[in-house]
This record gives sequence, C-alpha cells and structure tokens, in this order.
Amino acid sequence: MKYQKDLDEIPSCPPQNAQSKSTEAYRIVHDPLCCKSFMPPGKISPSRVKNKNSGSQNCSLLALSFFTNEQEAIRHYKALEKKINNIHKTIGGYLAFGKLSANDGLQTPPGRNTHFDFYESKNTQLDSKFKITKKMSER
Amino acid sequence: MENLDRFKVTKFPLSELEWSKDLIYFEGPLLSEYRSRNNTVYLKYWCDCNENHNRWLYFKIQEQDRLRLVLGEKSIKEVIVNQPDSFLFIVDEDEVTLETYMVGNDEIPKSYIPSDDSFLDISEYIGDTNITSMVFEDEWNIDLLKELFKKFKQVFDFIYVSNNKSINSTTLPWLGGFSSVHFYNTLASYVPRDKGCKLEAIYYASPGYMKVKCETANSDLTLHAIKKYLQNESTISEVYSELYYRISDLGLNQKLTKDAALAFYSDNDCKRLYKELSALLLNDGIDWLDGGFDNDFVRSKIIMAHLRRLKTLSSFIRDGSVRVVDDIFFFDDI
Repeated sequence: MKYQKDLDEIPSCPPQNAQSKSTEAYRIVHDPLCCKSFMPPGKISPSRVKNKNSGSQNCSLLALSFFTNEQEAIRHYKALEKKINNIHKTIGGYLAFGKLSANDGLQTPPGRNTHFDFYESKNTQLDSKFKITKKMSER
Repeated sequence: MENLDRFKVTKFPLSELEWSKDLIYFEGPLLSEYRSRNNTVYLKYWCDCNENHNRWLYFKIQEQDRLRLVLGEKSIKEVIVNQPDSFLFIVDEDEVTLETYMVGNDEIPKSYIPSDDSFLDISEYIGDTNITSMVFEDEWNIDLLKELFKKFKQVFDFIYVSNNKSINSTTLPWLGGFSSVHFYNTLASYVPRDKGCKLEAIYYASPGYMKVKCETANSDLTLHAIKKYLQNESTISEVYSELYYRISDLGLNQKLTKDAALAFYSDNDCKRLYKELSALLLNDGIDWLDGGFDNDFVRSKIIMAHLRRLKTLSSFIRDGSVRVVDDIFFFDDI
C-alpha cells in the first residue's frame, strides 16, 4: 500500500471491511488536477488534521474521500460551503469523476451519503484516471 | 489570507484546552469542541489557509447555545457573532509554530463569517455519553420542568426494569390507594444508582436547557418509546379510551381487586383491548408484564399508567416546547 509505514503504525488500518473492487467515483478536488489532488489529508496538510488531542481518526486521514453518487457529492460540498466560506481553499471546489479499479486499492463500504474512504495501492496514479466535470464552488 | 498583523499577541492563552469532539469533519476536523479545566466550552473553527498555515478561530460558546447549534436551531454564524466575550482568538498553525491574534468581535474578517444558513445537522452529532439534553424556551415554570424530569425518569425506570430479565415482576406492588406512586417508587429502587436518571443541570431561563444523566442505551430506548407513541398516537388513544370506558362501564374500579380481576378476565373486550394496548406500547416488556403481577386487570392498570406518562412527554415534544438533543425526533415518520 502507499504510505505503508504510516498505516503500520495504526492498529487495524486499513479497516478490515475495506475491499478491492471496481467503482465509478467522484472526488472533490482543486483545479487543475495534479498529484496533490490525490494526496490524503494526513499527508497534504498535517497541521489541519492533527488537532491537539483529537480523536482516533488517524487511519481515515491516510485515505482519500470519494462518493459513489454525483448528487450526494455535490450536496455534501454545498452543505460544507454554507458552513465554511473558504472551504474551497482547503479541499478544492471542483468535482472530478473517474473509475477506480480493483487493483487501485481498498474501499470502505459507502455510508448513507455514499461517501467512502479509499486506501491506495503502492503504484496507483489516480490523477490520470480522473477528469474534472464540474465547478461546485460559488467563490 | 487576511492580514491580521495588527492584532498579533505573543502568547496563545488557550493552549490547555482539551479536545472534546468534532462537529464538522471532512478529511480532518473543521469545527471542533474543546473544553477548559473548568469545563468552559470553546469552538475551534477552520476559516482559512495558505501554502504553509491553517487558520482557526477559537471562541467561547455557552451551553444553551451549543445545544441549539448541534440541534441545527442556531447557525455557526450566530454563535461566532454573538459569542459571550468581546473578542476571540485567531490562530495560524503549521506543524511546529503558532501565531496568535486577538481580534475584537467587530473586527473579525467578513470572509471568515459563514452564511446565515450555516446550520449543523443533528443526524451527524455524536451526543455526550450518558447525558440526555433537552432545550426549551419561554413560558416554562420550574414545577413544569420538575414534572418533565419526573415523567422522563418514570418511563426510563419502567423500560429499564421491564427489559431486565433478572428483575422478577412478581415483587412489584400494585396496591390500593396511590398504586402508581408505590409502583414507580419500587421500580426506581430496582435501577442501580450508576445507571438511573439524575438531574445533572437545569438552566432555568429562556433559552434554557435540562441535562439528565442516565445510561445512554436505556435513554435511547426511552426516546424510542416516546417516538413509537407519537407515531401511533391516534390508535393508542383510541384503544386506551375504549379500555378506560369499558372498565368504567363494568364498575371495576369500585369492586374489590379480586372481583374486578375476575370480571376483567371474563370480559372479552377488556382482554382484547389490554392485549392490543400492550402490543402497541411494549416490545420485550410484554413478557415481563405477562410473567408477573396478579392478573390482567392489574397489568392493564400498569400499562395505562405507563401510557399516561408517555402521553405527557410526547405532548411536550410534539408541540416543540421541548426538543431533545438527539436526531431521533427529526425524521419524517412522526
């Protein structure tokens, strides 16, 4: 896995229910797409995610966020934008679409809003597999 | 990022705060609760970043506002703009260093204040462990609040005992005058002190709140019982009224208990209505009720007493005069 050394330091990470499978997926990104568009939050901005004393979500911080449903991804972004004006500065304001193949990594089961965590395999390059389809940010 | 150099201070005075929970989380925390040693709650709110730093607002929030924030009744904007101090702290963090700015309320950069409809979603809130919180406004008097707590506790105790197979219902009394008083007092004695309901706090004001300390699992069952009552209210009221008037028509309340029990047992309507009512109100508790007590007449009295308490609690919740800080009552199926 990519970031294997970091994953090894966290018990049960990736979680046992994560599976490798093929899925069409949506991700919130910056424009233009680059390798940083597919870096997990724990790597791209450690100072934002590692709040002092914060909970036990370290494993998820080494994963990429995706949605299986386009409308749910947009709804989620719009809801975040209402709550945080500058959200586009940290997570991006665009929607990218692509297909994850079984070899690309491990996916957790999607939640109610179709969000899932994706743990990349070592040699996966997602920036060539995804394309920006929509601008979501109003700003 | 906005230039805040004129507000710079040398020390961050809130470094001892302890993280409590995240209220908005997407690829890391964006709004989190922190608590000081004296239990004052602060919110840490992500507002901006550049290549090297993430910028956060730190501000105090009062409990009556925090509960309404997580309920989605107060916006993030309202709690920032109306926070109790006249200033807040803005902090730029990287992995190692920290720059702190002390900014007056009227000098917070506009781009850091979210929109009017910046409301949280209660379904994403993870509540406080073993605390059930309720909020209210306006016309409440202290006696009504005591009554609310008393009824909640009685329903909680009933559900705790009726779901606990080790408590034998034959040991519970339903005696002559003040039967329900004896009954609920005895129920309460079966609930261990560390699991039962205690009044943790009442903030008697408008807006106000009440916090009840009780085991979360049983509190959830209590809230589900209230929800079930609300979902089936018209049917339950109909069956209750039919049973109530049938008992009255047969004059059972004026008879000796033994005679009343016999008359109840001989009457098909009474038996049917009692079964219907207990099926509407109880889940696992039916076995507990059927497995003890002297007869169906006494059982029907117990289930009717339980119903009246659910009815009182439901009436507070239905009209919105009390809102429980839990997502259970926020679905369309009520």
